[in-house]
Amino acid sequence: MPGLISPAERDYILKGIECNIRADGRQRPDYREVILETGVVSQTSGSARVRIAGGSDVLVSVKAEIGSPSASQQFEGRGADDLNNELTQMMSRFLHHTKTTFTTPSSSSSQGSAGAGASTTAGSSSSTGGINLSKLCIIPGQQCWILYIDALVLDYGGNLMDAILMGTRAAIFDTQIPKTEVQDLGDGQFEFEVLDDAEDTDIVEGREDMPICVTLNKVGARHIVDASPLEELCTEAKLVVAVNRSGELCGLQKGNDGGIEPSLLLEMIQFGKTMGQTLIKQLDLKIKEEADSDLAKRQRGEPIQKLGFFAQ
Amino acid sequence: MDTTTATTPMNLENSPAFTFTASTFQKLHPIEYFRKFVSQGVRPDGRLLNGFRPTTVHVGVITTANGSAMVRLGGTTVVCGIKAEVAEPKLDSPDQGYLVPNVDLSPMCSSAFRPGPPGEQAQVVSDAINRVLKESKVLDLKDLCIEEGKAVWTLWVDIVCVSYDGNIYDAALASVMAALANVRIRNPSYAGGIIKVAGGEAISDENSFRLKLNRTPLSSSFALFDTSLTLLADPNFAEESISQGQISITIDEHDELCAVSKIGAGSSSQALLRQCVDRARERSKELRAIMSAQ
Amino acid sequence: MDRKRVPGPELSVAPLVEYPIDHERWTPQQEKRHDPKRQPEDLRPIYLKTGLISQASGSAYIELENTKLACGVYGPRPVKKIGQGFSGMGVLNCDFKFATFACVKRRNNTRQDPQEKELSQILSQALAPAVRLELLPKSVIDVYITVLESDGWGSCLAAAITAASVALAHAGIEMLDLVAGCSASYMQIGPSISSTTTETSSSSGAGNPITPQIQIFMDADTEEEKYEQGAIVLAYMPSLNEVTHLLQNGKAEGPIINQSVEHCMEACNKVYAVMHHALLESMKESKDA
Repeated sequence: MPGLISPAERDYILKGIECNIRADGRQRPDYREVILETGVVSQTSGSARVRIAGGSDVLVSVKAEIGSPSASQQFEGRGADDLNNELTQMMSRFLHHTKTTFTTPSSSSSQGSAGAGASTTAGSSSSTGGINLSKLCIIPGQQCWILYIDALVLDYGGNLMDAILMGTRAAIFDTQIPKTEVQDLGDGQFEFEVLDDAEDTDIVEGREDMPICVTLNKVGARHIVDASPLEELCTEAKLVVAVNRSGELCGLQKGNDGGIEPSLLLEMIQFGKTMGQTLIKQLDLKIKEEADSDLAKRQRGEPIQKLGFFAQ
Repeated sequence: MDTTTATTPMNLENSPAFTFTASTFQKLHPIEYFRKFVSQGVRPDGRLLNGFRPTTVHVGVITTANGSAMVRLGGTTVVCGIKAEVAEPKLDSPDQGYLVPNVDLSPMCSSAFRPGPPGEQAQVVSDAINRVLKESKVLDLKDLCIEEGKAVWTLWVDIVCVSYDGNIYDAALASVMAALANVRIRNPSYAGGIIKVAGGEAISDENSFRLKLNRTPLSSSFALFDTSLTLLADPNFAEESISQGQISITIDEHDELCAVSKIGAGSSSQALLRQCVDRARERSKELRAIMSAQ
Repeated sequence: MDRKRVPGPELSVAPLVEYPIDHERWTPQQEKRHDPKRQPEDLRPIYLKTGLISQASGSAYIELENTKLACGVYGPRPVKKIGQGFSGMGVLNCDFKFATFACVKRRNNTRQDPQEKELSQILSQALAPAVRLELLPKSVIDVYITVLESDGWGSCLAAAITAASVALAHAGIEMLDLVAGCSASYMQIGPSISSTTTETSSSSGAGNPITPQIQIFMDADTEEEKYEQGAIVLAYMPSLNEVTHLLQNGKAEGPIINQSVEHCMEACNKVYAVMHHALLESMKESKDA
């Protein structure tokens, strides 16, 4: 990945964007082709690989483990477990790493734990990430499922954050959590058993409401989506708009060292929202298609062919 | 800084090209510059040699802490916040709580400090305060016991330096003492391994307790300047950086010495030490008056 | 083990606070705020003063009632880190730190936690558009923030942005404009909101015929943030009419966001006046001295 850009290249990109033609022939609001595949790593509870044509390649895995609900490590006054916030924090870290190396094994975990204790703050913010965290609870206040979400950046070709969130959403869709049976031994004592049945598992509730994000890059007086690495270098300011299926905004964050005029800002938010909603619809359609075809094949007893790592 | 134009005497008569302003002179020859003032019995900031800087103390400035105080000593500002938490006592002292003072000299307060773990000076000051608190038995740690062998209070005494201009030890110790006197902890109840405090109503004498301070040590520091070992009370940053060493005298309200420390190369006579103690006695009374006026 | 600090017990916890059953907590009802004297659009009174830190190139101290923080600016000074290479632009290095006693829960001071790192980055992104870094090649400007007390997450960040940009101006660093920061929280208000119903409110209260009403509270404090659905922090350069940072979390409909952005911009203009005043005061003081 080039770390520097020459004035001539910058000028070329700037002028092109002004005329609504980008270096790879796209228009300003065009997304590159996205290849999404779920269930690529069999050892995980759920996984997905996202490739944005000719560039970014992200592998996201979800691993469900049993742990005890942690006391809030977050800022006071916030909901205890805010998945989306954690992902936003991830973003900066990812971008920093990829500047130095191509493949970045970096890990970050988001926790889902139960907030059943009486003193926990009323959890309106836990709904941001969409996932219904209270459904991950096994024994209130003692045991819960922790969803570790790890994203591995295999290749960098711009627009990483979008790819990571898209992958995360798909991986959560793919996630199967074993069912548990809780026994009440009385006297505040509980015991539980994890049912080892690959066919009968729980899905992550609220997965449909998980947001994805659209990164808008402001280049000159215009904004583009899905920027290539060179375009990212010309970006003055970027705006990450996280949006869920019903078109609710789930997070906004400005990046890079530039400012945005208020009118353009509002326009960008609106644009990101529409764009994100369209993307989510398409993604949902594809995920459903894949799941349906997998199911049909499984019922017919046919082997399920995955694209695999070396597919083009 | 004093900006009145002064010239060095050695080139005063012949070459006007070599005259510079006082501030330039100060930068080039800080010690010589200082000597000129000291020979006249004053210091560049207008203080007499044994003068302390104006001091203000405010208590209860941080509402998220159980006790807090802000002390300003000229350009030095420190904030001390005390938070009480519950911990398990040590095995060999099952009825004693913890008192943990730490000084944070962040890079914000002066360019002399680097980000990261505490530097040398912060460690020295933390340790000095810890020793004064422990060895003068300021607080009976048994007062911090909730349930013997099970739970005790831990007082995290954190001192943040907001602005650094010398003599951090005096300011920090004063802020710790003021904050300790300000501490209020809600009465705990112990049941089944869980410590509970009642919330809701406003904190009052019925539902909370204060700490009983056996004594209030306060310190006065003096810098030793030049080979003549001239005493400079309450040195600021510039004075600290050119001083030979420093003497700190810690005295409690009964005029009893709690700690005496001398750091630096200069050797000091008994007479010098006596001079320090005498001045420190006066100063500690002044400071006590300021603190009790709060 | 940390040998550089006075050691305390390895594990200590805050005592459990037990509220009496009849204890009345503030809940977002009607348009009453936690502080009843404030209207929804009111900010807390701001106290802003420059020059508190004598050793710094520039400094500022800001207080919004219980939110108190100090900011010190050092520089521009030469880049010391080896390996950063030549940079034609200056670097704005921000360091956000909480005092251990700044929040209700004690923060451990051993390492900069991810939250502080994130806030540091946000701060530098919010300030960079205003600072003329192109005039300062091979230099670094260090901006240090210490939060002495935090009452509201958003207001803390907003206050840090405001204080830092005043401190930069106080240090005499060339800037295009001052950056004012402002925060807003939005939450559902209604008579039936209690801590038990909010947990199921994501399904928009099936048994609740009253449509939830969203109210925007500017500059929310900790108590109000407990009930917030989401919050927004905006950094804005009023003279240039440019937004330098926007951070939003929590679910919201588009119009709410637009509305809160506008509210924040208006509030930033008020903050701007305070910043101006503080800087003029510091000019007067230095003239008198």
